[in-house]
Amino acid sequence: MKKIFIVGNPNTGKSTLFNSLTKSDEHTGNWHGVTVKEKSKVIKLGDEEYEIFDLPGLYSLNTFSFEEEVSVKQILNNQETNIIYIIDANNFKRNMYLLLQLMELKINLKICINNYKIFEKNGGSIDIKKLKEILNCEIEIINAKNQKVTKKFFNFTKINKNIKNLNNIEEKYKFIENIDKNTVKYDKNKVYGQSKIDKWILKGYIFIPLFIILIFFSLSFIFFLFGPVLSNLLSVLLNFFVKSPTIYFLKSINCSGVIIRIFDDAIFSSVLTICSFLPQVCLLYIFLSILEESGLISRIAFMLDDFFSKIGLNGKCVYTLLMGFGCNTSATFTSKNMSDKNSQIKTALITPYMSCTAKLPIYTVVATAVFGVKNFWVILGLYLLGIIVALLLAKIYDKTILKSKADDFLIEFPQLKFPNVKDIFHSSFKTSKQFISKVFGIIFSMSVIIWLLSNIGFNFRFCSTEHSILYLISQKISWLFKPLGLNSPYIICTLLVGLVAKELIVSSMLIFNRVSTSAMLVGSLILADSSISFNIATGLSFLVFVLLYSPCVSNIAVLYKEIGKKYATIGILVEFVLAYLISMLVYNIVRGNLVNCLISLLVAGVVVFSVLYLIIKAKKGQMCGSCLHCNKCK
Amino acid sequence: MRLLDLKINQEAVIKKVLLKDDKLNLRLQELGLYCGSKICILNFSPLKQTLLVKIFNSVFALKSEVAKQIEVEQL
Repeated sequence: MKKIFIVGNPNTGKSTLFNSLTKSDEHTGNWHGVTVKEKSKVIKLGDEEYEIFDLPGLYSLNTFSFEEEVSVKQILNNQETNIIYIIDANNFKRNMYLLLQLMELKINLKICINNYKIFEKNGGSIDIKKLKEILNCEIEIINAKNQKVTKKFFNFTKINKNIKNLNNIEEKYKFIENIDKNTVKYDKNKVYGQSKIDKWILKGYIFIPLFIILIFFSLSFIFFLFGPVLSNLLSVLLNFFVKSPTIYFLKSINCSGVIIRIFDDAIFSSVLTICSFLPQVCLLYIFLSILEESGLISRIAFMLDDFFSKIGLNGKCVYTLLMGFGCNTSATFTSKNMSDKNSQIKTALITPYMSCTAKLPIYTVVATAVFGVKNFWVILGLYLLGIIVALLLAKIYDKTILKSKADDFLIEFPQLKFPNVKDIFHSSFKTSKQFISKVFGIIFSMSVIIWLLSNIGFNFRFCSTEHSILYLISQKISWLFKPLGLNSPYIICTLLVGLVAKELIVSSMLIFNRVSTSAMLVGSLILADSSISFNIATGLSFLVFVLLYSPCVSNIAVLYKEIGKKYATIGILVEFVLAYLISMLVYNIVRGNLVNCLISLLVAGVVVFSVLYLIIKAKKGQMCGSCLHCNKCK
Repeated sequence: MRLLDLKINQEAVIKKVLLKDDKLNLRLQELGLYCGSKICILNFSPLKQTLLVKIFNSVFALKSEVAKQIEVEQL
């Protein structure tokens, strides 16, 4: 089997070509660091098999970041292998540097020039014939998006000797300048690099208000204007076309009462309801895709870098944090593109505070039930609270256990472009598919388990919910949640199952309350006589707790893998403590209970002072800043 | 003069890179910030801690602290 590596500078279209060649659906984006680990797939052409590898982007064989190390290791450990090197026609000179380095190795090489049409539109051209003569190598102009797989495409040139004896960087660049002069033509009247729009928007007084307006309108569109209408519609359709006919069918064949109840309470009330949130999830992903595809994320990262460097991070974390609004687990992986280890850990630890799409149904259900049409402001407030807590925490981590070195924020700006509508819809379709498969996988099975646990007692016989396993366990720990106003065992049950996946919170609420799917969004879920009911104080306390407490199981697993046991444990403990303290504070403030408010402030104060004490100690040099009990630095 | 002293859209040639961090120094050179290459500042972030520079046809974001340590000659 032939191994083929797709190599190139970041953001040149490697993953796009990989998808075309292997008919895969890997994530692509207009931002460096979208691919952080290699991906591979085997394809068959006639009798021959090829294993195609998509490697993370790199500028040079002298590595500077984690993802570059991954690529260089693969290239150096597999010398004499086949490399497809992608050059972005718009960045010819810079892309040539890595090519010259690769040509010093004994490899089989094929050069592909991507984005040539854009370069031509800008008045440029490349003399491919001449370039072939100089480099003595197979060169082809490609369209990474629609590249056909043929045996001819996998024709490589064996590189045996250096094309010239180039010892240092300056010599290499002189050689590149020479090639550029002889083979590439530019439109002299055209300014390459920065677009006119960039010149206008990249001013603090324009960009920041624009950014706030964009976020505000996008969120109100998703959560208030368009999203709920579509969700309600889908909910009615699912109820009408799926739930009613199935229940009717089960009854007509005289199915057992237990089976009908499982279908009615566990499967339809919970799973289909979560499905009805698909439009909102989809809209959120469309918004994130637009930011990513257009190149706006780099602009946001640049403009916010000043701010993030004040809390010990840098603009690069913007990508991870924004992706966190989609899914915390996949966003945590992207924290790897931070150049400094401590910054990576900090970014991974604050990502769960970004409200992911799994929390969206909870916010919508509870906020609608308690606040009616004013739910948008509550949801917006929760999103903001998560961001504020994350930023404060990043600062505290930076001052105590995760000090970052002075950061060298060095990122390339991709061209600003109108996102391709087809790409946007494709990406949101892909994420919607993932959402649905999750709902019909883990949520489906867990809903049935929750239903059984809430209907079976410790003697393993069917009983009322009040005597069920889940209820009795929750009752045992209900004292712990009393200061938050959440002492109902039903509510504690929902929080417990939420540890597995946040979608299960709404799912279990529906199981306990036996609410039909179509009625949910109008706020009839929380009725005075139903099992779970909220008032303003308990509703807010519950929402804040859900926002801040532990992430889902898959995110915990990723945290342990990416940042290690020690920091993952600290992060999760901090999340529980913060969730508890802030919920308690919110509950008592809303209730106007001064005594309890003072007590919660006192508890919160003790915690904050303990942290401040650690910060001051670290500043005075009594601690090294990387551990909590170090005496070595004295 | 230093890179940071350049005004927006003023072109200059890099004379010396005085960074102490060898790894960063090497990376900058590999990206095109070597002695003799042309550079131009395109923009500053709101607090001027970060700047956008044009090297060849690419645009990079760079820390002001780094720009302070790059000696240039205005064209």
